[in-house]
Amino acid sequence: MKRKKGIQRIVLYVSLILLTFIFLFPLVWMLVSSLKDEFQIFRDMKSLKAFLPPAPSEVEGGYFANYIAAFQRVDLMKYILNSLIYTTGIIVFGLIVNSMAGYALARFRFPLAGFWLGVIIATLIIPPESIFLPLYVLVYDLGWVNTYTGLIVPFIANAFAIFLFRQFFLDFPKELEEAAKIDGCSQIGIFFRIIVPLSKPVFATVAIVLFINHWNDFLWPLVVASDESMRTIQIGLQYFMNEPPIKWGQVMAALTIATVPMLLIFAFLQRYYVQGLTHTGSKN
Amino acid sequence: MKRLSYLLAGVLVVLMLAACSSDSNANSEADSGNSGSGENTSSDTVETGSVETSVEATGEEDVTLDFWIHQTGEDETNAYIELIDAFNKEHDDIHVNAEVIIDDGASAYSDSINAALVAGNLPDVMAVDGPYVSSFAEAGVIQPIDDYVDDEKKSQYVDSIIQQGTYNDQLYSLGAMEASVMLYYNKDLLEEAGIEPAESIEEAWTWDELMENSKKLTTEDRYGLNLFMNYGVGEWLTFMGAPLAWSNGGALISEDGTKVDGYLNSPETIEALNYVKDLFAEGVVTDSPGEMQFEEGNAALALGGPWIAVSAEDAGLNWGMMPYPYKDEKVSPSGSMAYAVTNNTENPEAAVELMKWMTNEEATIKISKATGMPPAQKSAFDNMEKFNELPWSIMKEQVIETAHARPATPAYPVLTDAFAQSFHAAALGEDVESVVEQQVQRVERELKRFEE
Amino acid sequence: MKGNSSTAKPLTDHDHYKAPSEPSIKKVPPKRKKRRRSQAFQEAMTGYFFLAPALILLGVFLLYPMGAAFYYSFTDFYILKPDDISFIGFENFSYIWQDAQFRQAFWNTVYFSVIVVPVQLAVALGLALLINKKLKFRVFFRTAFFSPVVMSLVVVSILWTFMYNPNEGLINQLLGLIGISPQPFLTSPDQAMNSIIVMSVWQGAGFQMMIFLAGLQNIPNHLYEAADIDGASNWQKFIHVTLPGLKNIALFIFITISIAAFKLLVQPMIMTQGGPLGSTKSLVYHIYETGFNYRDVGYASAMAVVFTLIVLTITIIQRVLIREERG
Repeated sequence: MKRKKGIQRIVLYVSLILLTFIFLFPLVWMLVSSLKDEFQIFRDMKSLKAFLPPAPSEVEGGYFANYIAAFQRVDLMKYILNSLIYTTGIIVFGLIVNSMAGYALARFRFPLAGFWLGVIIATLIIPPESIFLPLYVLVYDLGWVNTYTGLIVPFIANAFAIFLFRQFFLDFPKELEEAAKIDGCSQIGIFFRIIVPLSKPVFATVAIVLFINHWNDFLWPLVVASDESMRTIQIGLQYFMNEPPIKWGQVMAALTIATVPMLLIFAFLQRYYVQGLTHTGSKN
Repeated sequence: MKRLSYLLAGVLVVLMLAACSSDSNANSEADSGNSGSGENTSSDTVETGSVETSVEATGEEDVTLDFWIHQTGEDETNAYIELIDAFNKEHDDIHVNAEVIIDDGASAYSDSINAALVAGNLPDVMAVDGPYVSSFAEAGVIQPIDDYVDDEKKSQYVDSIIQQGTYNDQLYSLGAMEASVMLYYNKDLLEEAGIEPAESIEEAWTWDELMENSKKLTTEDRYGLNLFMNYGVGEWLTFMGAPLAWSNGGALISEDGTKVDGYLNSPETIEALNYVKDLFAEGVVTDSPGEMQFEEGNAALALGGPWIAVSAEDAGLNWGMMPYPYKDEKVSPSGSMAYAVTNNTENPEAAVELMKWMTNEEATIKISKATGMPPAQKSAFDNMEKFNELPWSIMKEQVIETAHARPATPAYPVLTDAFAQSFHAAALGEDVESVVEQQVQRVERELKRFEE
Repeated sequence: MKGNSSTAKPLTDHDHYKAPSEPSIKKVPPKRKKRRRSQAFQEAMTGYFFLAPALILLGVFLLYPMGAAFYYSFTDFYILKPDDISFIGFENFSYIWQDAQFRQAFWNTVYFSVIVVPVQLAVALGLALLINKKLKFRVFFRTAFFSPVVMSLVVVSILWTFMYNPNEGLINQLLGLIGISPQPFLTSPDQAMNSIIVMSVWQGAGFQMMIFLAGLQNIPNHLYEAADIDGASNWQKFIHVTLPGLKNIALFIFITISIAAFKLLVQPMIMTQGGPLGSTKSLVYHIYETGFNYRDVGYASAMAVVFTLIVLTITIIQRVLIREERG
């Protein structure tokens, strides 16, 4: 019996390690290749050296030659900053607006509440690309082309975020709110003073979901932020993909640069994230 | 409409502030909200392009022109920006705001134009790919410039550039560069196989010669020919491939650009596509070549654009170029990015002034040097020594003598995809006739839109 | 319980199912009649106050453009002639049935969804079960499986395009090490969609794994203990305790993956441009191309309307089946 357990354990760990390889090898390859010159990337690919960082003797222009070259070719700093500004804008406003909506749908009884929930859920189905043209015309009429406003405002309200918030608030113990009410705080006060501080997990979860979604936006920033000064990181990546000369090392460096902010955000919020997801599907 | 934006911002701010004011948490959130919206409104006013930094605004300019150019290789984009800066310095009464729009090789640039078009947000002058001139002209998106360009001026450009810019007998666009496709060859490999390259248009290879020599040059570890299928299914296949059909007496569309049935599916065009199919079937060319297949010596021949000369040189390859191969008539690819004045401008004269500046002899030489593309000014050809000796003289000869513009039809976006899809299907060994037949129906439907 | 909402949509019926057991004065149904009108009014006002910003924004930036797209679908809106729009009835809709590309894109999308949905669900569940144990380096494994999600779809699509490269790609080089000849992953019509599917599952499974993990942790331990006392095998515990405990979560994931799968766009756009021979052209991609590249906004909008109806129908069918199953 014990021996069987032992074998099971070994099988478990072996499969976990195999799976880890499957899930991580592209990431590792990307990171490692971003440190190599073109010649070495292709040479190493023919062996498992593809996953090993270059030895100091092998790097001619220094470990970060590709990064330096990438930053020199394209103003990546500016693109990252643009992306950060507008994703942060969406997240900050999105957290406020969507949490309020989720709260309303979870807590209050009002006419058409069910109808609105249905409408909000139904909007998840619409492929955003199919409404970009009328949306662009609207945003243009508002004078928002080539502004952060045009990148942010249309995407503040988010059906998925509202839904996540609602699921979370359904489980939120009411006693606390009752107590606050007795203290004489208004409903709005209760929400911002009691509910929000106690709901970090769901806020973190929504923040991550929004960040992942919008950090990746391509088509909308492309048409709305057409000006070079407004360009975002994903559009910057296209440059390395499509503008000759295409250097694999630089592509990998650019991809890494685009990934780092997401990794950081996730690392910071991961603790809450798992908790926040607990509520996602618990009642639907 | 603008008011709505303030209203929305206002609503948000009020909502934020309406929370329990004693609460620090809510306050900090409201603050960040405020600063966010402040930033946004201020950025409303920033509308100038990247070039703007290098130009001092004097406030005395009479005319401001918005100018969209597409972003390509670095050297090319920098050349454009230098030219625009120089224009601004030279002209006290005209100020140009340039926007460099990303071109992802697929549709990013045209997506931006399309969106701006619907919103009525087009710039005064924009870069347009040659064959798209007619569709913009037909729709009245760009305007004729005959009034500002006299015949003498026109005669300074190579004929094919004027041809590409003309629709219904009116001139719409001026370009700084031509383009062409040459049959590049690896000198060492040809020598090794004992194959004589062609050194003038008269000596151009026939289809059969191309087939035969490609077979000879194909070995276990290299291909005889590279058609740059790695560029994807897009404009390249029409640009590079359509002359095969023309050379065989085929066509993509009727002369007047209104009918494809009987043209795109004519026996001559189908035969040309079947020739392509044979090249692939014989294994002398692959549908997925590596990025640098020719430059690295993994293909002996390559039907490539002028930029291949630049990259082959950079790679230290011992290369040469031959004219485009032919069947009956000698034709070669032509056309490139050009500039056009939109109907959105209030200053067509200044706009044309800018276009002339961007395409004058000096500019064409500068851009030709940056890109390797043949210049669009005849005098530039004469003054650039490179084009008067082998191998570049062949490209010059080809541009002046055999260049064949792509069809002028408002349905061009669909037509070019139809041809490119058919070409690609042939490359993958599909039944050419049935694929073409399907594409013909697609284009015919599109053409109905433009019937009176 | 929601007598006042005229159009109760799916997902609303459980809204307040907790209410009866809560000591709230305001929300216990039997007392509703006694509630003073003004109190109900005030609650409605507060509710709308909280909901209003989201509703206004959704209305202006989603529903309004949707309405516009719906209107365009009955017109011949052509981008180059935005001022010359005429009403053409159902012409766009009737062309959908003749459009060979639409048919191809439809079946491509169905193929993608039918494979991705169950496979991704299974992979995600498998991963979650594997690491829902006392393990050394558990957080490491979890992070590893989740990392493709964090890397994002665009980055991952670009990365895999290089990895799938037929000549110099990493995967073919690795296959070469074990003696397999280079595969035309993205350049053969037979393999391209499958290659995209593999990458999509790889990229997305971690996200659902996290949700499953959360769900597994919500299953009360005493159920397992009871099963242990009954002498149940691991397999029996899985069937009778774990699966029922995960049912709601699985359904949630099932529906969200289905919708996301039907909206396939980024991967073919970046990796194959819909080719070769249209084998990876998805519905949304076809819609996008028709509207933007070929400027036929009228027809693209008609397809978008049909697309929305298709997905809506699928979602409703899923809901109905699920509800019936639940009894």
